[in-house]
Amino acid sequence: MRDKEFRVIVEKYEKLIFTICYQFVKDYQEAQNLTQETFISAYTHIDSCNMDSIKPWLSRIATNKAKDYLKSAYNRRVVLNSEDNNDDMAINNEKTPETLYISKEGMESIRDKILSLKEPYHKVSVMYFLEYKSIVEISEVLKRPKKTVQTQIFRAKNILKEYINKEG
Amino acid sequence: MDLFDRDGHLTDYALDLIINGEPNEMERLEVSEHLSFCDECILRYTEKLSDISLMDMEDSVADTVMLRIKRRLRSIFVNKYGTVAVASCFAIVLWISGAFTHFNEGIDKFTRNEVVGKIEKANERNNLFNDRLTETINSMFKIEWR
Repeated sequence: MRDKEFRVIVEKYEKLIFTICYQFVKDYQEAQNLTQETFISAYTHIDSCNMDSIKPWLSRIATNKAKDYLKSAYNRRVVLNSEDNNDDMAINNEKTPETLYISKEGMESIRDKILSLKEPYHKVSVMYFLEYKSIVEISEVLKRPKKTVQTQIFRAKNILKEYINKEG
Repeated sequence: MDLFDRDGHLTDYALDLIINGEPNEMERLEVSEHLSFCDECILRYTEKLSDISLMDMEDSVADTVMLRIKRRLRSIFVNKYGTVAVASCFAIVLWISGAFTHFNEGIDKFTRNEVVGKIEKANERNNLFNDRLTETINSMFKIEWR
């Protein structure tokens, strides 16, 4: 594809892509950056795109860029918070007979909690924690990328941790 | 209200929340993750976007995008062919400085010495063999050469 043709595509869809990026990142400057990144990525792969479905194709690239940005910000915050909580976790990890007894009794409660998780965590949690399926297997069955499955399992674990800490 | 239905797809509520509402960070992350791989939901999302007025931008990104693409292509070109060009220049410099000539002379010398040396050794062994053979024959027939 020639540069002139691609420029026409940029001018036609830039508002759409910017709107998508802004809807997810909620920051004007960042949305502009991601809009540029979207079109630069699109240029590299434009020959593989069916021009009849260019709109959803570009939208997919834009949501991917937004997702990466949000994920990066989220991970940085989660890592910082978990560093602060390390000391508390060390103290709470002491296994007393009382703690062991409670955790056995609590197994059913945790199982129920897993079953009550909402999508997108429900199916991955059931398959991972209760059916002992691997990430590869889960990814194939649910037709989700492996990275997405890993992320969802990680978040499900955090939800369960919070639940366990609340229940004592 | 749930963002995902029982099949794991986005609900209309989820799409409306992203387009018109005030979703929190986790909601935006979960929805964007799903849209990144689900063909069905990205189509639905794109169709819903057709019904709304899109956001205005202060400036078009077209000029910046085309400039960045040009720079990136240049960078790829330099990386790809620059290495070849540097290697070629280096080879030419070596050739001009005579490094290859000295190298060839060295090879020749080595080859010559080797070959000549081997021929001389072979001749020596030959001569020794001839002398011994002559001695043996002479002793057999007790012929004295005057």
